[in-house]
Amino acid sequence: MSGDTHTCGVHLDGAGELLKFLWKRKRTLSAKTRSLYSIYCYLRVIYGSTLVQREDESLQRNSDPESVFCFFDSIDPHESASTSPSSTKLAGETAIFECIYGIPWQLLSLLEEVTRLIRCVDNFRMNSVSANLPHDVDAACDQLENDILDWKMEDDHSLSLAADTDAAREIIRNQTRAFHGALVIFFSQNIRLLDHRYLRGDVDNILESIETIEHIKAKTNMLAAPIFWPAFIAATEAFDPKQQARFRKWHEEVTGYGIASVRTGIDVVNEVWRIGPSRAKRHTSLWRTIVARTGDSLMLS
Amino acid sequence: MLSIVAGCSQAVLSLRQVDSILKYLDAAEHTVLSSGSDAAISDHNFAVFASRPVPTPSSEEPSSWQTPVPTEPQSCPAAETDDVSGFITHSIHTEAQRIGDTHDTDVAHFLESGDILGSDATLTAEMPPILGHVATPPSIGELDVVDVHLAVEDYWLGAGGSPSSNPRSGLDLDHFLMRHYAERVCHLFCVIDTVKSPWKTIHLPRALQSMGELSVTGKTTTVRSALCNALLSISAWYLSNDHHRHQNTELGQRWADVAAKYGYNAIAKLKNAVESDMYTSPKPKYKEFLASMLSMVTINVSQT
Repeated sequence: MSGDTHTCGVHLDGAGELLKFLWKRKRTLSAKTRSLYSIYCYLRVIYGSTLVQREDESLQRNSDPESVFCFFDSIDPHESASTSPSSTKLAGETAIFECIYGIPWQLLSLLEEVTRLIRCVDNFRMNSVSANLPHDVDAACDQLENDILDWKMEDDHSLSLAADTDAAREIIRNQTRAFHGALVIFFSQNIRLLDHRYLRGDVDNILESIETIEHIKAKTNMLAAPIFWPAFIAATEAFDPKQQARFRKWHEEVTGYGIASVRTGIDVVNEVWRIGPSRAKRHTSLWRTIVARTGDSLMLS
Repeated sequence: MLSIVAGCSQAVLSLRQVDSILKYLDAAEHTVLSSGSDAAISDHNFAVFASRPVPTPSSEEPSSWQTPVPTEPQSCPAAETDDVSGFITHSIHTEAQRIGDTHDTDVAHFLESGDILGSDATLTAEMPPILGHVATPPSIGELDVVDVHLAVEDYWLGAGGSPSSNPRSGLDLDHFLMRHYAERVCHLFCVIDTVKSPWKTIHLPRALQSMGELSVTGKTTTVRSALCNALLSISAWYLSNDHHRHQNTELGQRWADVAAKYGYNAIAKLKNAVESDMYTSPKPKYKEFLASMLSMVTINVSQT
């Protein structure tokens, strides 16, 4: 059983073109269209984060795509004349993302930036014998790393826009915490090539968050699926047997939701664990090397 | 305007379901009134079509049990000649071709016919017991997958318990799968169970509207039908995954076949809609195009 996600990119390209077309015609998006646009942004960024170029593919593809968030940032000419402050608009976007995916859109935006930077760093490392990154790339890495590490969760007020129960708020807090932790790992494993021992604490925190979420849902009888991306990223740096046992238990639980594409991700995680940590020189994370070799297409939404 | 979808009166609703529907309609009515939007509200067997007058659909298609009538693509105004239609059509065609390669299916046939379920989707006067079996499901949050399994078993095995290779009428299958989608699947797409979920406020109401339109008037728009087929495919994939997880390979494969067929239908209809309806006047419902395209990604993620 494996999710066939090879054509996700095709449909996302189509949806992206439609959004561009709509934006050219209307210059303003209704609340419902913005909800759909949020789904598009999330799917596009999550899909892009695990899209690995195969060794026989051109490195020029998707070299510098436009940000998926460009329509959120644009100013609506009708709205600019009104009294509604832009902060309200941004709070609204945050509420949509928190409501659907349990994270603020700023975190997703950071993930998009990290993904873009990883492609740039990958290209350099594959085509250069030098161990040092060019100065401008190095500076961009430092800046983005600071942005990620300095990022703080919004206060309870903004959470209340998205969730109206304590259980929902607690799920969103834990989802955000897990996603932020996974973002730190994603950056560290692919750009800094950090050893897994330095990431053990982050893996533990993510495990705690995703287990708490499932516990809350079971306790409150809530029907809602988990987000697989943070768990996947954390699991690829979990080489402690106790951590792996906890991930296996979590994987067993989430397969009950009937999302087939999770299976492909779990297969990659199992392969990472089978190979184990390596001291060999590498230019990217182990899971990306595996995906590049197998040609798997992951959609960890 | 409150309409009760014709043909559903034989499916008895429990008091709890009626309460649940009324609460949902109250909440939705409040939202519509406060926003002044033209939101369509639908739930279960009730369908409240647009709260403001809805323009006549730019392109209407016959119901699934009638022979589709091909429509000529509308000419594209000079000011709107962005190549979005061509790009999207190319994307969809690529996907259709891939499915043809993967499933050894005559893609050209269903792209031309626009309805691969046509032979199964015949309207019959007889209502099978399938709706009755799931007429009193647990409320949201208490839904037990086992209940769905029992209903599915009954559906496929027939009342006498003997295996039946032919599914009952396509319309009843549509109802069953949409009900499964509404009561279980659409709750899974958000990390919290919320009434603000786009799958509950956009996808589901429009798909239900499509089914209601087909029941009452016998026609609906092509893109809305594409969305409806996509949701039915997703619903069937979830059932297939359930059975595979419980080692019931035969039923899992049967539901996978059903899901694949609805998936073909969704792609074919989406392709037709993009080619024919994108530039028509009055403006088509772009939200439905977008929701359909995003639902195709969900099909990818759901399929085994």
